[in-house]
Amino acid sequence: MKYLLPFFLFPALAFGADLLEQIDKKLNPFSTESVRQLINIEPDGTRKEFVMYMVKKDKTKVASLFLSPASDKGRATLRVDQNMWLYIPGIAKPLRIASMQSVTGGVFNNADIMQVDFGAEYKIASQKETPELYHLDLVAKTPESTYEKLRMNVDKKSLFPTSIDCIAGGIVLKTIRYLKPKDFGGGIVRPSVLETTSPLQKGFKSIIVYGSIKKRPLDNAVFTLENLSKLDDLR
Amino acid sequence: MRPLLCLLLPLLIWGEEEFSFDAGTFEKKRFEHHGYLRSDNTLQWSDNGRFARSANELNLQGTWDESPINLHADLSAFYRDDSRTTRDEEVLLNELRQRFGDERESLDLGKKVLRWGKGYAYSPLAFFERPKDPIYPDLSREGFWMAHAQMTRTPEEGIVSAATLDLLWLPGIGENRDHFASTDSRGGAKLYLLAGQSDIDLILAENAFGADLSTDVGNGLELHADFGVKGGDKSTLLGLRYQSPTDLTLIAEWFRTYEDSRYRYLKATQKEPFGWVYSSLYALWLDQEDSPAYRLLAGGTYDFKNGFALDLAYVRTDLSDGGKMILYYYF
Repeated sequence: MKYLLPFFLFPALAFGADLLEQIDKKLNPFSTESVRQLINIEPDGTRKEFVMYMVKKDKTKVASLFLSPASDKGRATLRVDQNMWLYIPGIAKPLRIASMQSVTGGVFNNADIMQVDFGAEYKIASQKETPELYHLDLVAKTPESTYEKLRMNVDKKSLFPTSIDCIAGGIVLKTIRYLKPKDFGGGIVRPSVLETTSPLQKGFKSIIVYGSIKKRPLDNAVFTLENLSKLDDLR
Repeated sequence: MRPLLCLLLPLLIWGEEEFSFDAGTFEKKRFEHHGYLRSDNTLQWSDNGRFARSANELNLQGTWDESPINLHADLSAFYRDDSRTTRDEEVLLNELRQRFGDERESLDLGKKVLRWGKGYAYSPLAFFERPKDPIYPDLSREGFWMAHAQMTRTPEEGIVSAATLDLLWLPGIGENRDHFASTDSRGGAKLYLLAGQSDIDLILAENAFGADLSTDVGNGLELHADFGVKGGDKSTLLGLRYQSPTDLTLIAEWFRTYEDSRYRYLKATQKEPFGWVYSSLYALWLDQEDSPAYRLLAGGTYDFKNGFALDLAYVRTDLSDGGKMILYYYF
């Protein structure tokens, strides 16, 4: 029997990997460009807003350019696998930055802002389901991943995540909720609002609002360190 | 129950904040501009008495992007005043360049800034950069006139996942001639490689060469090193940068200049201390080995939501004590 067990387990494991891939494809279907707004909301309701132009290709290539506010305009970030850099135009050379720090402040860290495909960083450790949702426990593939575990709820019908608990050191660092699915045209339908709260930063909330997202073929050279100063030329 | 729901529903709808965003507002325009005002005010006490200095800068930047024109200009106007010497006014053209090409191959013609090397306070590889203050390395914004070609390739296989070749030619004109003390033109080349989680640069210039490395060793720790040889003299920099999950950043560097002076540089920055968002506290130390000279800064910054930013610091050197207030306004 023990020799047959792998044959029974294989379809389940394969289904798990396939499910994560389908979720990733739903969120970031193609080589894309998008314009997003990031809003940090403090407990007293005051806000700070950032606007970013972002390009993504394959599973692990993301580059973004700050369009607003004026103090951040022209700053660019790049992520390729676990490598992350920040470029400040005219002033400094590109710096390597850490995934758990935040270039914007607020609840989102650099890895949240430059999110690569879930399947590139995590694998499904266990899976349960209710009539409407998949409940997935994801574990990091490598120690370099931002979080040790993700607890993800996925809507069965749309395959969009509805909420994700991000866990490290055994505690939930933050919860990301995926809200307001929207048809952006060109066959791209995905949640347009990501809302993040953290038990470690009570009363604070960070929101990402997608203004636009569309397919765009992109050369791999876009996602290189020396191209960060030319990112604005893509717009 | 139903009437109660009817009463509560508007409250529930009102309580749920609607987030929407019109990306069209941020469509790229043919001409875009921005800039900043910087007012740097220092007060120092020493055995020679009290000394006050004010340095103010208005910076304007603009980009005109309408194919085939891709023109970028960066201009700074300075007004400086201190309690000992006369007033000083200056206008500097930091950059003025036209770009041709795309992300794989490009050619920049004009005046531009290059930042070569991995050091924060100093770099032995700044062969085409103006001298900078290790405490405020970002204040040196003025570039040189040059032709700068760049080619990028991204191999699908092998340990190198990105490679960029830079080729430079600086004509012996204008400010280039003043800086390099020669009417000759000069050239340079740089090969950048991304290998695993390491950035590597190999640099060759006239009468100079060098290499640098920046590698992510995990857990927020980055190690970097620069090495250069210029006219037979050697210069070295060794450094590390640690970034904690709690937004503490430590930068430590040791460097030896081409003049054989040796320095130690340490900067600690805590972002959002005590939960104060958009603020940071920092301490910075720079000293010279075999010399009593040192500089210490301890201060804090705050980014306001209306474009203003404030930097307040206590400044101590081997010769004086004082305070510094820098106010920025970005527009």
